[in-house]
Amino acid sequence: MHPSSTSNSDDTVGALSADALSRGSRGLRTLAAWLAFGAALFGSAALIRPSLPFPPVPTVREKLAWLSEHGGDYDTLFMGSSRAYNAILPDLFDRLTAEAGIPTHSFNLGVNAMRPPEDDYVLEQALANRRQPLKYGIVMSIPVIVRTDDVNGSRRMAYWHDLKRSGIVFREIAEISDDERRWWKQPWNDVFKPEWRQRMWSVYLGKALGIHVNATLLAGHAANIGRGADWMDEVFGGEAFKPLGARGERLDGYDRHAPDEWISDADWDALSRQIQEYNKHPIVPGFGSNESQRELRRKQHLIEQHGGRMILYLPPDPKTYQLVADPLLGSDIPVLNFGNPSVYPELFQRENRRDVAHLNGPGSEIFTTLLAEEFIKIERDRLKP
Amino acid sequence: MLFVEFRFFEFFLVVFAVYWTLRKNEARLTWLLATSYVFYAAFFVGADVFTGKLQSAHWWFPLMLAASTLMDFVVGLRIESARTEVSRRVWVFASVCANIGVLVYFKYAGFLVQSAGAFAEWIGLPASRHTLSIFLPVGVSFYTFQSLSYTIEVYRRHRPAERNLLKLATFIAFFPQLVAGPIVRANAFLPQLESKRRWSDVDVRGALVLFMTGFVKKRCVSDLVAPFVDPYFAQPESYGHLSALTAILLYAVQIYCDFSGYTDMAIAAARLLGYELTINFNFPYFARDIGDFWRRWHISLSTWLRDYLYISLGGNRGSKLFTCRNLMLTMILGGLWHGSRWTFAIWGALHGVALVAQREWAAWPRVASRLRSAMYPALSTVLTFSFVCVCWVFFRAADLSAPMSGDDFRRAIHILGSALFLVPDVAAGSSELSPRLLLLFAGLAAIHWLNYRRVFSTWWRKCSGLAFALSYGCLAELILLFVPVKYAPFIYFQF
Repeated sequence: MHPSSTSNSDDTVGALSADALSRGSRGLRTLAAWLAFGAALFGSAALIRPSLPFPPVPTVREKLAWLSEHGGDYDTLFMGSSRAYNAILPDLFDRLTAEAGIPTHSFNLGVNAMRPPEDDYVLEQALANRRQPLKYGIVMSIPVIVRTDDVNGSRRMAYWHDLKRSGIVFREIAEISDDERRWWKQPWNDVFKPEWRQRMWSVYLGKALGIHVNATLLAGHAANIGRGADWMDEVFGGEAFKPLGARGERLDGYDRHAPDEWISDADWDALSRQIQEYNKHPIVPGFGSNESQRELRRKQHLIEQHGGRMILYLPPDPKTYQLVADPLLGSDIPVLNFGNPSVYPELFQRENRRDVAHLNGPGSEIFTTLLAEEFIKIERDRLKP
Repeated sequence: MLFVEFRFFEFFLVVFAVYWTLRKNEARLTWLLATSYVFYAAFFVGADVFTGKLQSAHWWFPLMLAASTLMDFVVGLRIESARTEVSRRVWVFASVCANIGVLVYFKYAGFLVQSAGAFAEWIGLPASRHTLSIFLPVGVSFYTFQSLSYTIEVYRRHRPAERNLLKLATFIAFFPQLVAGPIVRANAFLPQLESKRRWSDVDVRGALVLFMTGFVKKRCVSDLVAPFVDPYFAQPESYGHLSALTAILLYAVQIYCDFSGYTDMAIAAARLLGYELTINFNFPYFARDIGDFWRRWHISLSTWLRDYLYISLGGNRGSKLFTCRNLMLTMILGGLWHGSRWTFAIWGALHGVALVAQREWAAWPRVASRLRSAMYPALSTVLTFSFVCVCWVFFRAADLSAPMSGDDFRRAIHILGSALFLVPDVAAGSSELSPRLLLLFAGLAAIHWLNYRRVFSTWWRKCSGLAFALSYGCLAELILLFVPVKYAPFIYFQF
């Protein structure tokens, strides 16, 4: 070998390794810069967060603000979506329980479209500074639902997306359903069948989208996006902080729908079909996903930590959310099931409905009465010597 | 896909990472072209994730962009190979007709049909009030002008025809400037595509700071004032004098921050990929006269109109009247470029009149020099800004979502009358903009002035990489804190 070629080769190796080293150190510097950027961004956000006012999320902000001042006046909390917010009258409930000798002083903490894990966050906030013991947490049963909508321009989706609640969502997304397990056991050539493709698309793309959307919301929450702008909006007289009548006329959290709201013909037809279907094939309440069960237990634990007892109820709806606690997991959460039209026909009569999913004013009064009666029954059973 | 959306950051990160990983220039350009079309298609095509079905009524708009590119590629080659001047003219005329034809169809067909009907009615002919509603593809006004600049440059022998379709297509579709400019000239951009860009030449810090500046302008200022300005212009009758004044001033802020913010982000995104785009704004509200304003506002459009319209019309190579006619025509057509509303034409005409008046004023040097006292620069700046604000009222008065009517003009006159205390304040108190917004305006103006005076030093260039990253992170948090939850699309996307 020619000496010069060796020397050239050495030079090349030397140059290459120097180049690799310089690239390596450049890569390390870039990584350090990214880490410093992230640490500065989220670190300063964490420092600022405690001094920021609660975001102007309609209904939630008003109810939590009220409870932070008057939370001690109440010993019973109702949780749930609009099926609770517009359907449970604390005033009527308290009257009936007092007459039965099991007095309560309740507050309706229901919020439109509030589902786990948002309700978990709201309950945690409501109980955060509470000193007096709680008696009951009457919680509407809903499984964890991964939402992928309302991403842009929604304070409502961002305010509860802390690390804990985002973790619940991500675990729910990562869970493999029984259906999915069955698909993977199918013969491989089924992959080419259109219905399989359709299912795969909807499930796995839905999961990917769920991860993306919820990661975005987590990042937005962690960076306090828009929290200062909300304050600016308040200063300049914008819409965000305009007070709403969310605490209700009696300041007990119940907001009655307009009394003249009745179900439309189309909605009544749809509901009638659902009732017929239910009567033919009654839905057996299920245990949902593992995360939904864990979520139930988390709420139970939180309520019990404050000295209360959790009671689950299924709303008068023959189609959705028939989730109950799994007894195998060692739970004694009582369940009040109002989802069966043949047991509670009055809740499914036309004059008591506002639409397929909701009761109107008179329907809400009937529902609250039934809820109180069932509640009294199980409490009397429990308190029997 | 807007620059301020989270998905744009994800998209850009992928484009950026793959782009700098590729070694060959052709591969990079292919990647840029493909991603530019994906970026453009994202405005029109979506997928229902639960069914996997594509949803779009306008899926063919990216194809229209491709067809326009292909046509100009062929025309460029034909112009260059033409043996006679006549055939060169025929080819350039074909390009102008095709590009302007697309623009006229999408932007002005409805306007022309409606105007013809109104005119027929006015002269007493039977006419139906037929309206034509055509969906305007985003960016069409920008890329047709960019494409046209290429064929005109080839025709004028300012540059050779591009023989590489990939390069021409990348020049026209380059995503940072595709949908709202700056309108880049072929001579300025095509040479940049000739060679592979080097990472070491990229001013990363400058680009990051510029992107952040643009983001702040759009999200923290424009989107902050939009919820106050938009309701005012929708129903000015419900507000009083002070609100009129506040809304006019804030609209001047909104449109500047919206458009220049977009441009800053476009320039920064291009810079991070190694390309330089034309600057589009240079503190226009500190202009001392209207001519100066047009040298600072939407520079890429004003120079385009000057070079390809005003000069083609004859420029100032004729009598005074001829020059005035050219100025007026250029400005009115420039106004109509923004959209098919007579209020845009009035906006352009007002600027045209001001430019003509300025020329006349310059012809009186004695009077002008006497007035050039110490106060002159400040006074002329305030006067120019006031005039620009008056013109903005006509620009903003058009409700682009509603069919064209005389209401636009009436609304503009009412707003000006209200701001100048010429109409009675019948609605005072019913709904008013907060007077604190005037303080906001003053604060923003002060910051802008400090920036104009270069008070914000370039300390970020001198500090270490780690210090820069830490400061950038803290600043990013401060900015995100003041980002309003709702964002409005960029104003210039509708043009």
